[in-house]
Parts: sequence; structure tokens; C-alpha cells
Amino acid sequence: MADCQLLLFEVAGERLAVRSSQVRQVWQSRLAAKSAQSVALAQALDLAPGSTRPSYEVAVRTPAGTAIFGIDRARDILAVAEEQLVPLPPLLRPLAMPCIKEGLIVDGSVVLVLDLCSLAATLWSAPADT
Amino acid sequence: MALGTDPQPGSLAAEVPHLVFSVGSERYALPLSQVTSVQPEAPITRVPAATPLLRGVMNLRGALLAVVDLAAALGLSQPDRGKGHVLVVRCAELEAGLLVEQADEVVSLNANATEPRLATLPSERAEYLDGHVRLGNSLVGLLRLERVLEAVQRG
Repeated sequence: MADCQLLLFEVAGERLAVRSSQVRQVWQSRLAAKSAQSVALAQALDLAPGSTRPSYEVAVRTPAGTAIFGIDRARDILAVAEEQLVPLPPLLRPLAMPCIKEGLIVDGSVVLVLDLCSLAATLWSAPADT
Repeated sequence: MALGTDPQPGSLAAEVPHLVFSVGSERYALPLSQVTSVQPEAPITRVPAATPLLRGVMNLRGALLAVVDLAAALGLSQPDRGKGHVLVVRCAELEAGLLVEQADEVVSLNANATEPRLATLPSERAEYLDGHVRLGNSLVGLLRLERVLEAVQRG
């Protein structure tokens, strides 16, 4: 039974998660520090994109370098069994964004797990692995 | 009824159990064979950038259930958040939840009692209905589940 760690965070009032293996660092937003690959996650996911400015940033390793996603707050680190991560239901799979393929149940409700590397590749057209 | 003869008008057609439920101020029905269970509305997680016909995903005994916003599909007012019910339905190989106000009753409906769709129905609602039946003083729309799920899949 393999364990994995998830970073649980909040964007535009929604709880989301990312595998911590994708996360390089989490820090409070820096007004001046911007990189070419930087976006508010609320905007990237079309979740109330005009809402408050992100308070935290998550740096994610990608093949093209480091991508930075703005989030509202980091909530928790969860250690879960791999079996707790369940796939999206068949009706939903073709409708969801490619970066959302699985979820888990936390405190009785669903938390979607984002593949931020996949999202970064979509947003910034990372070169394909050879 | 002898084999090989057509049923005579007014003869007994099979009575099929249907679940009658409320969406907004209107009532609809589904064959009970398509309904797996009725659940109280649990917290529904929004799915980013998904079709407005999809309210989100809900925890159903540890699995993820896609919940269709039936009021949105029918152009009706939505139930207050957290106060509705979810009909867990199955059509072909697809399972989904339909968010409704409440499940009202189970009735047996006779196919001979079906009336055609009202000509005054908005077209976006008419495509989801097979017709109407009269129950007491109200008209109950016969929902075509496969049309609803097809609309969701089209996005």
C-alpha cells in the first residue's frame, strides 16, 4: 500500500490538492517577483478570476523550468494511501480539464487533485518529453 | 391477449413504476428502473471550467458522483443550496446524480395515459421530455434521462 503526500490548498473558496512530489516550494506572494511562467490559479481554472489577489504561491517543477501558481492559502499536508485517490466518474472525464483526473474524500466531501505539471504544460506549451 | 395481435385501444398496457420528483415549481417523473437511490444533497464540489449543466461532484459512499443541475438544464429556479436531494440514476453504462428539490412519490404510469409534449414548452425544455401525464391536478413531465446525459456530455 503506497502512501503519497498531498498539499491541500484553497482557491476562490474551493479546496483543491496537488501531489507534493510536484511542489518545489510554497511561499507568501511576492509583489515584485514574477516569472514568465506565473499565473493565479483562480484565473487558470476560471474560478472567479477577478477575485482577491493570491496570498501564496506554489512553485512547481516542470520540464521547462519552474511554474508558479498563485493560491489563496495552503491548508494542510495529507498523507494518504494511493487507493484513496479515486478517478473521476466516466460522465465527467471528458468534460474536466486535462489537469484534473482524480479526487479524494476529505471530511466527507470531494477534493479534486490537480496535476499542476500538466496544467503548466497546457498554459505555457512546454516541449514534449523526448 | 392472443399472440401476434396488436393491443386494442383502451386495453391494459403495462403499468410502469415511476419516481415523481420536483424541480423548481414543476414535477417530473423517471422510470423507477433508472433510479438507483435517492440521497440527501451532500456538499457538492465545483469542477473548474465544466459545463453549467454540471453542478459538480459529490461523495457517494467513497466514490465520486457527477451531479447534474437539472434545474439549469430545464431552465427552472434552483433549490436552495444544501436543501435538495440527489437522484442517483443509471442510463446505459453511465451513472450520475440529478439534483432536484425532492422526491415526491412512486406511481405506476400507464403508457396509454401519456399526453404529447405541450406545444408551448420552451424548446430547450421540450427536448428533455417524452410527454406529460396528469396526476391529480398537476401535469408531470416524463423526463428522457438519456437526452439529459447527452446534453451534459456535449458540454
